[in-house]
Amino acid sequence: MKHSYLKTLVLLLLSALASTAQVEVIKNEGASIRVDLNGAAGSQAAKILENDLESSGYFKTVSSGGEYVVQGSASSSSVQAKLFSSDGSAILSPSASGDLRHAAHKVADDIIFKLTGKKGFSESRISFISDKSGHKELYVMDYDGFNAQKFTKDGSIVGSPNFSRQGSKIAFTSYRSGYPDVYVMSYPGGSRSKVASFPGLNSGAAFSPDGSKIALTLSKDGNPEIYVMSADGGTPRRLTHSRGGKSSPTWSPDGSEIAYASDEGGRPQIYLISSSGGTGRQITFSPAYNTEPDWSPESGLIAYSSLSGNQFAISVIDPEKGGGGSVVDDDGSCEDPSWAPNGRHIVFSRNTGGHSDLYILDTKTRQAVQLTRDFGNCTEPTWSGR
Amino acid sequence: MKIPSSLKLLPILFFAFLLAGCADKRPPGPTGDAGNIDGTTGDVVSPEDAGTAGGASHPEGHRLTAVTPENATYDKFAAIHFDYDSATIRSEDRKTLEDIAAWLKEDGSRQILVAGHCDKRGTLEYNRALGQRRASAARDYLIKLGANANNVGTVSFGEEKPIAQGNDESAYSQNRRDEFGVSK
Repeated sequence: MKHSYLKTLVLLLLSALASTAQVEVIKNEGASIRVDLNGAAGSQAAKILENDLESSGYFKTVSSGGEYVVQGSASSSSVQAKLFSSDGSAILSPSASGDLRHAAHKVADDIIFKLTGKKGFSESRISFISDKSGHKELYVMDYDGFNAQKFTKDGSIVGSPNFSRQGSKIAFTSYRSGYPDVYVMSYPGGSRSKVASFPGLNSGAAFSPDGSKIALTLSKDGNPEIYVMSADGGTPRRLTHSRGGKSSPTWSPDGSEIAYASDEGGRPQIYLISSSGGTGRQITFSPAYNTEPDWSPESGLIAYSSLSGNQFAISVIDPEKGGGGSVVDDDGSCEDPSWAPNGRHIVFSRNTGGHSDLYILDTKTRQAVQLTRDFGNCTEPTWSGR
Repeated sequence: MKIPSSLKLLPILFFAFLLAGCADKRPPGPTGDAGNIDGTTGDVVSPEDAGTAGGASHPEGHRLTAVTPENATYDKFAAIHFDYDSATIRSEDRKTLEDIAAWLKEDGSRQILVAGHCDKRGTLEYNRALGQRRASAARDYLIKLGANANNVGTVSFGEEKPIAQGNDESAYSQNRRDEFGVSK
């Protein structure tokens, strides 16, 4: 990422010019940090904070020593902290009040931004589908698995949720009318409007970078194709014109292109098309079945579901260079990846013996951690943009 | 919901990165009825027409008025079935479609809802589109047989409504189907 180098140069120049400003910019990952919090909720808040700092990828939490130290206290409704470097100089006094978990997440993000210059995602959310209630409904939880809240009670089938990058809207498909229609819901408010209910299929809606448009699959003209329309509803503009079915559109980082799955060549593969329309070009060729692409705004890589034997694995491709790697799982079928805002972690659904749960994969360490349990079958996760 | 309080408490090493250049040594795909995997999906098999080029089908102007997914019953006509990952109408199903077309043409107020389904292999969103193509394929065929396009509607349920619950080809093949709904 060329821009981080430029940003670092600018920051260093500014710090040289400023008389007393102290700029800390962690360039290398794995800086050690220790968290010591007192108070009624101190150890709980510390756990949340440590998890956020580690999940960011920039820090290794330690129990003694540390290049950075976070000290302070936490009650059930606030976190008051001070960040020091190992030489004892104070760097920041982050604090937040309200719900303990959210206060701790906010403090973590303040620390991450101060020390790395990058926005953290400690307050990000994951929306997903669960059949826990007896029907597939829409839920949203904190990215660390807590505070799951139910946002629909349609009593039919809800599917295909997609968060906007701003984290303020969720598009999803619901069969509440009997047919698959696309809704856009504001988050966290929860008010929704139906934006696409054409004959045939309406599904797979994904927001453009600024959240004003959605790309989605409509079959109203006789075949499932990719269209773009205003996220508030209106007249869709058709992008694809080919045989076979198209599904799962996802926007490039700058919104100029859309990746999608198409089986026009016989079996489904990933294609790219200009978001102003044109001709699709194929970017995956093997194995025989690749679907559900998700394009990371941060890294520019595309993750997707890829056939692996009789099941699926998560694969990643660089659409510009064409290279990529396949993440292969020997136990269970891994599907429907969604990138974290950091362009490094991926949340996905893993089906083992007919039961599905969500997992988070760190593509750098290649470790996956189970995120949901005892919550019915959890599928189709989508990570909010921030 | 019992969720671990810290992600780092349960690291489980599952995955290893394979380079894209490594050959996939597994079998090429799910076993089962490969059958007529027809790349020209959406084409209609009929004596009159080898199929529509470009996968284009008849647009649907509006949803049906007489039949809805809520009020439809699906036992008046037999279901028709599809090969794995295919939306091609089988020749043995032409008779069912001819019967349906004749029934529709008898009375111009009759409407039919074609519901497309998939087996549970494959990914969820792709299967919503595949179920739709199966429904559209039958609709196209009925229109070619003279049915009024306004009286044939479609709905896709993807893999969400299987009628057979097993994990074998017998169950899968029953689930890859179109059903034909009429109002009660």
